[in-house]
Amino acid sequence: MRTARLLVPLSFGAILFACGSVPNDPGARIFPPSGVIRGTVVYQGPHPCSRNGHIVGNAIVLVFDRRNPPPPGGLATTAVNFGDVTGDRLFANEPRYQGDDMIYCPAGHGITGTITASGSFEIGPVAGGSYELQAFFDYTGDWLPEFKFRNLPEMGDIVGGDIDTADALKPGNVGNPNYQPVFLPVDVGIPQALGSGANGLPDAIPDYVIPPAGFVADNVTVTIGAPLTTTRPYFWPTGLQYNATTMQYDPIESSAQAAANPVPDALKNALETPSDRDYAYYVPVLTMPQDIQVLAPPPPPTSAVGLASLAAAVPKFESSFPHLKLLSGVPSNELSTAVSPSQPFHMQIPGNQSKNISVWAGSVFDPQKSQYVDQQIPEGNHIPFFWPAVVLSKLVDDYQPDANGSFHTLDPASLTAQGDPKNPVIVMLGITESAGTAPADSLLGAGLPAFANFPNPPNPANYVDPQTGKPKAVTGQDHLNVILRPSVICFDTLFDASNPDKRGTLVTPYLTGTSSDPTNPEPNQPLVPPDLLTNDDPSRQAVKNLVSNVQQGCLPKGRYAINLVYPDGQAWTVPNEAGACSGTEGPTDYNGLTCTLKQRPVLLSQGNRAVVEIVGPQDPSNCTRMSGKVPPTPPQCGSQQ
Amino acid sequence: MPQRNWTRIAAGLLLGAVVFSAGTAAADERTEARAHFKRGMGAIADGHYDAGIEELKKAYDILPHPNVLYNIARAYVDVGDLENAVTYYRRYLEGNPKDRDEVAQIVASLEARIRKQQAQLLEAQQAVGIAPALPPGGSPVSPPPAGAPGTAQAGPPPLGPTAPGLGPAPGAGAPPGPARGAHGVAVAPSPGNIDAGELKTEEVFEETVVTASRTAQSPLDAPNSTSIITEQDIRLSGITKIPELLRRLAGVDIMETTGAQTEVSIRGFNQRLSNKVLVLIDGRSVYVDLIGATLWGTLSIGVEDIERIEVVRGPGSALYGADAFNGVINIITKQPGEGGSGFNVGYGDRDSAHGSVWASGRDKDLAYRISAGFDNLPRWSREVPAGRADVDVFNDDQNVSQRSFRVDGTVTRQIGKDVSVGVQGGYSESNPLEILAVGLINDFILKPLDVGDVSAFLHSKHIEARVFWNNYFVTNANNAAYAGQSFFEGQGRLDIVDGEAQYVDQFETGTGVNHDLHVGAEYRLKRIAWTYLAQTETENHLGFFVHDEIKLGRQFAVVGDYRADYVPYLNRVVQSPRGSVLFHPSKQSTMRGIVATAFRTPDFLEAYLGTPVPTPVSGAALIAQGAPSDNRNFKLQPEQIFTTEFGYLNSESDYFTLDSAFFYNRVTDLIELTSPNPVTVGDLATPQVPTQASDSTGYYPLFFNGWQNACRRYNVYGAELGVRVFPVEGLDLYANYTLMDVNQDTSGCSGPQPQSDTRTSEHKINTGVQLRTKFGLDGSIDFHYLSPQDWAEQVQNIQKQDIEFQSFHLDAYTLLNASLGYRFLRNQAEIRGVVFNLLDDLHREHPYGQVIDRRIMGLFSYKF
Repeated sequence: MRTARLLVPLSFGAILFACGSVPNDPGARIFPPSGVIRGTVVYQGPHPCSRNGHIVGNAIVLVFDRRNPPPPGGLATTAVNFGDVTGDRLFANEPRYQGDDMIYCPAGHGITGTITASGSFEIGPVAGGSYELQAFFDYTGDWLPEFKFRNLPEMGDIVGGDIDTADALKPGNVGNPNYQPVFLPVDVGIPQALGSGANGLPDAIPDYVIPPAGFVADNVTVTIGAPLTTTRPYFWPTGLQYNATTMQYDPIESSAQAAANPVPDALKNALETPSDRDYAYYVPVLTMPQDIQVLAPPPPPTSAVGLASLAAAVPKFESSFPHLKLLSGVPSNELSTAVSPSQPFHMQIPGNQSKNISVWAGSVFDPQKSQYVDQQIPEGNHIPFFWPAVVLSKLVDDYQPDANGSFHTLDPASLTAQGDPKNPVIVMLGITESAGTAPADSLLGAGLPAFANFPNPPNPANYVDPQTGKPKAVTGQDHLNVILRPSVICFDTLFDASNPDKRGTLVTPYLTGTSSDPTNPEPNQPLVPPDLLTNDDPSRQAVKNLVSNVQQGCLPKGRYAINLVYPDGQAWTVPNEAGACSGTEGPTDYNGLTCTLKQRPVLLSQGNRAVVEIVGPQDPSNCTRMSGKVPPTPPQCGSQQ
Repeated sequence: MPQRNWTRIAAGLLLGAVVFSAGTAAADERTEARAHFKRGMGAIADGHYDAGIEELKKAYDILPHPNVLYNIARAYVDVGDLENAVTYYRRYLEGNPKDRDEVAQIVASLEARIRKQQAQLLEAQQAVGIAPALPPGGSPVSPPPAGAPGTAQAGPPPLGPTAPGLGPAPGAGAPPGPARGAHGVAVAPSPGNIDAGELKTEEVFEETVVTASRTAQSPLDAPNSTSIITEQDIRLSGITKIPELLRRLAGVDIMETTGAQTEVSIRGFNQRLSNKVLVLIDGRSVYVDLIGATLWGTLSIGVEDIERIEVVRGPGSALYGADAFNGVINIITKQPGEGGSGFNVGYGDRDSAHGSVWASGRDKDLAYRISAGFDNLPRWSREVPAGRADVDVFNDDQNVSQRSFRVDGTVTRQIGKDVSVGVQGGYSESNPLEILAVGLINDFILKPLDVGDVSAFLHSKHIEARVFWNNYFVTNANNAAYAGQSFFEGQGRLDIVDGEAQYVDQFETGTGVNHDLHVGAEYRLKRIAWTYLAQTETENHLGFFVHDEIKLGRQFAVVGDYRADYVPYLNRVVQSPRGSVLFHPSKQSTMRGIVATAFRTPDFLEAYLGTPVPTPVSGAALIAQGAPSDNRNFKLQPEQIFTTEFGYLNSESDYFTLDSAFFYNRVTDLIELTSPNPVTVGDLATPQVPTQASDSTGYYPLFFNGWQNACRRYNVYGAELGVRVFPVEGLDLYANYTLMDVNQDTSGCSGPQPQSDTRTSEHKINTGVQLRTKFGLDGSIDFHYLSPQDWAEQVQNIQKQDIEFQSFHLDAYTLLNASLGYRFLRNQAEIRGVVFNLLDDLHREHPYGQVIDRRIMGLFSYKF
């Protein structure tokens, strides 16, 4: 009994010493180590607007993966994260208008001048990686992250980022509308050794690993100070077809065919058939077969092949490509809705909305020559590269019926671009046609000056404004014509964490074709330059940054959104939310041009039809494993083909 | 220390204690005391007064009860030991009983009788010239045995106002032999015609419950399955968390989710912030209407203040209205004037600490009890390791889960024989309190959380009334957030004023048809202001209830209940009926059949939510809304349960009790999160829909979500089997088994449904032993086994921008808890060691719960 009695105080005493620290959770409840970007937004610009005692707009800081930046440098459609500094905090000392009857902007009341303000920001969690920060102050207060028609800065907003200011201040870059700021890398985590797969990659970016204690990329300074002076490149598309008689490209009205359309003569028949009417609004403005075959470019003019021959060859060459026409703004019947402050869209389309697209020739400043040098498209052939860039991105919108025979159930408003391991990012790059002084809807117009100057180098005068010495921008264009390359780039690598090479695979149905030279239609001429990825010509760098290999194969079927991108990042995309109703808004009422559940206006020009669709092969034997000249779509383009 | 060593030590301690104590101890105090009481009363009835008195004294030593003192005194009167009788009557009066006036007169009569006897003796001695010689410890004159012929004539005249003619004098028509009390126990006549009152023959150690019918009754008569945690259970377990005390009960699910949060449910459907059990303290609801939960750690009482805990298994809305969904837990505190004074302090590993001090006293009709305490509860495990650069924490000390203090006091006053009134007040402050919150929010910090309550009550023979005010004031936030993310901080205040009155009557409507009728009404005011709500909300609730227990003879009883509650949110009346039939095959056994329904109203967070919730995107938020901006008429329906149950209870033997229940539950309309809907273009044109960035937070709304009633139904088939055995004195064994077969019925449902969502173990076994020795060593060991659990939690899928069900599987786990204490200084002091999860079986009790490991605490208590 005494022993038992002793046990109690002994065990009690042991308890008093049985202390310890609380263990860390061994599993899922632990906060996984992550990265944080912390810094300061420095604003230099006009006095902000205010209303109801609050500053209008916030400073937005967008975080992009440097391996996949947004256009024009890359393809990202959304930031990996974003944060903001509220206008009230950024401009804590600015006086505010207390009334709620109007938005008071000092600039509109004669108060000009520039102010400086700053505010701290933190953005997290961020995975390990190397990032670039783009930023802007939403001066107009119109920015919303979730809608394509309001998710980018617009005219009047003040833009910037964590940029290389020294580079921006170089003589050739100041005032150059083509200048793309160099964003400084913001590295989050511990850099790892470059794997073997990264050998030879241009500007290879290593993997970054977050240490157990987390990682804070601190003291990042984001500078905002460049007002945007142009609006976003609002447009609406239509397909073009070549009229051999008139040698003109005419708009496609109702004859576009698509697998998505249940009846032949798609648009016309669908519109005339009540039960199919809604399908009419899915009929793409342009279709392209999976196994599209185009002609090879004519040989460069030589002494033996004169300009006359070239003038005949170029239209033939060009006409073998699909064409899009992007018309400025929106149709006149949609204009008032598009620009109305009381409606959701807030498009900054001016009164002369039919001429609102700016075009300028791509050029880079050669410091050794102290002059701007024109940029050619990667294929060369002296075809100049023009801004804005046109990029088509594949949508998840289903191009074939589901098990119930229904179309377009995955993404009724055709809004979502592909982007997962099964359905990787797929893009198609267009060729913008324009010459500068007037719409030039053909390579003949665009390229002839270059050809015409043969054998001399391109004349800088064609691309540089003699008044300013800067690249020549042509504003007020009412449309752009776009040539669609018969190729896509499939970026399955974006979803392969083990692959440091994030470049994609260029897929094209044919690697060679018949020459478009009417005098010498030689077969088996290269469609894709054999040295596309090896030639060090600067014109190739853009494509080399995106493509790691070329494969022959059928193009991935499906619907492709159309993006128009200015060099400063301003862009416009169709289809967008203005054009059709999303799932929770209910089906689109095309008669009333409103949504069934939540009524709001619908702008048809921005809707489901505003896509290019790649449809089945012209030759049924193609795109199969058994036979045919064109192999099936390679697996890099996903499994849903 | 290796796990094996701990096991060996515990086993050795237990074995040694058993060896040293077997045959000399008393285990279950109430059972032992009841046995002694029965034997004592039987002996007295048979005229064996000395033996009877000894048995009663043993009963009192084991578990003091004033009626035992009274009966001892009464027995002393019968044997003529008037001085001891007076002594015990006076001890009885110290408890200020309702019949104190009558007993005081008896004492006065007895004292006068003693004086007179002494005077007569002295007179007689003087007459014969003999000096008085008093027997040691006895009265000067030993009267003849009770009932002896001629006693009345030979003794002194009757004393006191009731004395004339009260003694059942032979020849006055009284039947021969001892008189019989109301319950059939023999009552000896008072000597010398002194009216010493009748023996209090009711079985004072019989367990009673009040929760199942709002009236004191034996569990045998309760219309629901009812379990009890006794004061002994509490003391021997050494447990300092009130909800953890309930783990030993069949049908009760206990989940330690954080160091400070233990969630309790009954018959399944446990969850983070369990909202389907109504918890009462002495009948006062402590349900936090703000979030629909019981925050056990904020109660103003400690385990030391508890007399017993009653757990009613099954729907209780018919009596208590909303939220008594699948059970009611009523914590019965020690009455003012009882329980003495003392303190209890404890310290354990991870800096866990517990302290409690209490005082209780009585002055005539006035009685009081006050208590205060503190707790420092460490986390089971940390979510944020030390030294993290990327995470900000709302509370700097990430080791602590709760640090709190509390104070509580009650004062009662007896007015006349049948009326008592009282006031009670309590306050607790937690700073911080860590909980596992609902929805997408996991680790949540309340810092501080101040809880106050004031109540007043009146008890009388026919009228029961009470009113209380519960007040909560809280600042809350996520425990941690990545730098750049918000803590999601909020402030809230909740006021609840509740008043209830009921009329109570017992009457007959025919031969052998006895009614126990309760008719009452309740008014409940809820007023809540909280950052997360769209606006300050006030609700006025009304409830009307009627309860009638109809006893048809000795073997049958029918219990009917009906309650109608007006729910302002729904703007309609919700009805809750309950019917129960009881059959007693024997006096100490019951067969019970029940049909009942209950409901849970949407809590304020569900009904009126309106707040941006941070997302992993620093600048974006999800707007959580109770009523969608574009459909303000949307109403959640209350969660519903229908139950039918058959139960059998047998406490016939002094050596064991058997309790069983078999039930079927159908649960519908459970409230769950909706999938988020993106902000639409149409919303931009709708002024009442928040679509722009907040001026204060800068959040851009991306999605809306809220709540909905789940389409799927749950069919639950269950069984609860329990036995408690008292094989020898000093040893008390219990074991129970719970079967829960939870089935989802998703027929007719569209959209994603969870794969498996049982939320409880199919098999649960609790067993344990309690030991108490006379030399002061006592303890308990409790073993719990829970089979695996499948949970379907709604989680945020960032990539899909959706909220979806994610399945979690929790492995089976065992808990072995042990406590060993030693009483000394005449049982006034005690040291105790307590080990929770002795086997260190690391496990989670909820998918997002912290990892439970072994914890140790030492306690020292002293009672005045």
